[in-house]
Amino acid sequence: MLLDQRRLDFAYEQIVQDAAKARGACTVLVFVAPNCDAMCACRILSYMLRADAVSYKIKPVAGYGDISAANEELIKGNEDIRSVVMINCGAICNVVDLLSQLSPEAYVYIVDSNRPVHLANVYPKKDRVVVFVDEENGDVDNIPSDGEGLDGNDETSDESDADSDQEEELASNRSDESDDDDSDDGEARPEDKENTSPSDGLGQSAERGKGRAGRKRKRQTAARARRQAHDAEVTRRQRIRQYYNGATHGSASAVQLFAMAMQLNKDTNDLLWLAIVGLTDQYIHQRIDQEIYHMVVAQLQQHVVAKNSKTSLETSSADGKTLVPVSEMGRITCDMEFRFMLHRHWSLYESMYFSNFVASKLNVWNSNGRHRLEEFLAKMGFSLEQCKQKYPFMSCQLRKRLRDQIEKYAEDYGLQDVFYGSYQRYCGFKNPLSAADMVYCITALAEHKDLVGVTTEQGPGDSTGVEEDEEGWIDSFNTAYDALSGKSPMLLKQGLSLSMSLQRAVVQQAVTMMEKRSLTLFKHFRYAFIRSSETDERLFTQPMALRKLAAFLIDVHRENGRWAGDKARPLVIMAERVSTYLVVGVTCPKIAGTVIKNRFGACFQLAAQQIQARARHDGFEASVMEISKEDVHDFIQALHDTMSA
Amino acid sequence: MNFGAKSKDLLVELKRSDWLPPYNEDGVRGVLAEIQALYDELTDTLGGRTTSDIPDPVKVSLVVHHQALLRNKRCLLTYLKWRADRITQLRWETGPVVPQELQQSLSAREMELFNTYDRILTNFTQGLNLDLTADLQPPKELHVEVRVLSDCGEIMTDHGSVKLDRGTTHLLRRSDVEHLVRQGLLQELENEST
Repeated sequence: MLLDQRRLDFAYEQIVQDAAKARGACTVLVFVAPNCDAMCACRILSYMLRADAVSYKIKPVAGYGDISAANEELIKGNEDIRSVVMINCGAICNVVDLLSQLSPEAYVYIVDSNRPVHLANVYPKKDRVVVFVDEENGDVDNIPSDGEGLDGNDETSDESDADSDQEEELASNRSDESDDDDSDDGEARPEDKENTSPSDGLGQSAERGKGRAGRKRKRQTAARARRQAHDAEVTRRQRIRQYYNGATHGSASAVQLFAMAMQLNKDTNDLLWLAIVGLTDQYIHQRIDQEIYHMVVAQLQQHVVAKNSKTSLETSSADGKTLVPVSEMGRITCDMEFRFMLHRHWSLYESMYFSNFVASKLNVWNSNGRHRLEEFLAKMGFSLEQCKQKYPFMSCQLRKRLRDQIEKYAEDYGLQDVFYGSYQRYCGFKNPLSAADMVYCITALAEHKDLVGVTTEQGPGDSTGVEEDEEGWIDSFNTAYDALSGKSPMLLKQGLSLSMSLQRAVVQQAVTMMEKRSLTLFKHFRYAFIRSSETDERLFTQPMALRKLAAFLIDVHRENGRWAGDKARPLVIMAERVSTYLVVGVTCPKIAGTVIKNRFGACFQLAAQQIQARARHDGFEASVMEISKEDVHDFIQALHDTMSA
Repeated sequence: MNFGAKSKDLLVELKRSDWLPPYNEDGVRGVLAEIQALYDELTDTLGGRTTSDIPDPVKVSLVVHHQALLRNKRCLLTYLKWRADRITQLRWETGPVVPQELQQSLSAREMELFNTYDRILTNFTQGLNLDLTADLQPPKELHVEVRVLSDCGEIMTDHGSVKLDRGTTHLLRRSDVEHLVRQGLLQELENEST
């Protein structure tokens, strides 16, 4: 069932109560997906549980395989577990199936920004699955109202049908979209659709009431209902197909859990910061629209202002004239953020040169573009010598003028919209860290921790590389998770420099690909291969890095008009791993800053099934797949056929 | 004569070792012999005279000898006290048995000290019905968040069993996992204060 963001405190209280009742050694199990938003959300949750002394276990999971394994190893036979919280995983698959070994008293709470929510989670048979949603921001608008009570034509037969359907679904796993029709039993009347926006998670009784009303109505108009039933069935199936068509993202998990903390009066500045970072993660990695981002940023602003009033931080000195800043530890301020990444920690020149925004608009990699960038800086009155210094060493006057000057001249160079509203956090008297910096840092650490300071130590044999990969990601996850606390400046520093080198590599790789013209156009998508021999290191064997690369390519081509308008096609990039290719599908929205549904999930699966490829399609993001080397060329062909169909 | 050199060597020896050096019987005897020699020297010089009879230059020599004697005594006591403290501390840290590799550093008397101290402490804890050695530092919180660094299998706690698999993070009662943290299998995490 769904639980609205405004009423999450019920869920939390349920968790605490269950923990108190069970008195087990560890009653709460938390699954966390390895992305920045999930880690932020997890930190918020663990903070609250710690405050209430509820013992928990946090288990990082990279894919459904990990969850199934945990289902067998951790959950099976463990009566202690009363609550399972799934952060950024689980919403799009049938959780009841996935966690089959869970004891019947236990609740599953899904905090996931992935959409669409699987209908079996929206209308579970027993109300033991709770999905957190944000109704206000239109999270549930298009969910088909298929659980609208058992008011079908023949209740008994329908119910048994539903049961058998469900059995089928259990067997056939989460693969096929049409499976999910199961929980629907009656004709779907449009008017009911509105009434039953299944928001009220605890409103079973209301639904039952509706069921009675339906029966009454049914007796009156039985014949008419029967006539309509068939039509309704057709439209319903269509609606459901529509519903499952393509992946999107809803409200950030960290923001949802911060709302929960707020309802429980447990919100602190630390948690607020985590929520901001989670939200920024979604925005930077193009999971949510610019519009939605701005809306949520505005919503968070009031909390930022309330918790970080300026007056409390400054006291006047003895003569009453000068304001002496007191400790600013952890203060959050609202500020505009440049679309140059990490400019506070890089040199200004490099920050602009390697950022998607500037690079794509000015084509900096050719001499013409570089010239324009230098001209832009010159017009602003920034000498190149200064700009190539690290930002903290740039002259103070220039730093103060930076924003005004950029604002003044950006338009001339086609750099409209160079700012966006964001937040910064001060740690001591050092340079502030913006939410975006944090996101880059954490994302880089989560994917590439093993590359920190590793320059010479390349795995000698390929086989060992794979094994390290299996376990290594957990260490990376934990490193990133720890870095998120902000208590370790060393880790943050490592993460920042790592994300810089990653971005450099992304730009270089993209330029190479464009120069070699290795992007191939098909009718429905573009694709490109990255051979491991072409790239240094193992940078592009991780989905997020590939996504960054794809985003850069898309930005560049959108700006130069080659992929603009009707020529926009989603992009599939395949990167060579040891014995497989990592396939990532990225959408290409026509306007920058918007998000469109990613339909690759189902297409990848169908294509792989068609050619019976050996593939692993296990991650929480459906548009990421691993496919064996031999099958990859057939796969592209099959993908083309699938998408044409 | 180089007064106090031997006793200094003893203390330097203490300082240079990780835990304790083997008990230096010869060194201690050497210092005692020096003290004896100093004493003899003093009594000889004094020769049964009263202070008023002694000329001033001789008085100076008397004071120097006496101070050297006192210093030797102090160093020797420090040597013994330092060792005794380490030995009793060992009882708190590792429990009622001296680890094999440390035993050879202790003299027979020191072993006796350890055993006696162990007996006293054991009696005391039994009387209190509380294991005093469980928390050397008073715990700030009842629970502690730990990261599992290497697989520990399943551990039993008062409330049930918990599986500690590598890479996961847990909030558990401090008393249940304290020993694993000390062994280095778990890592205690620093957190936003609650």
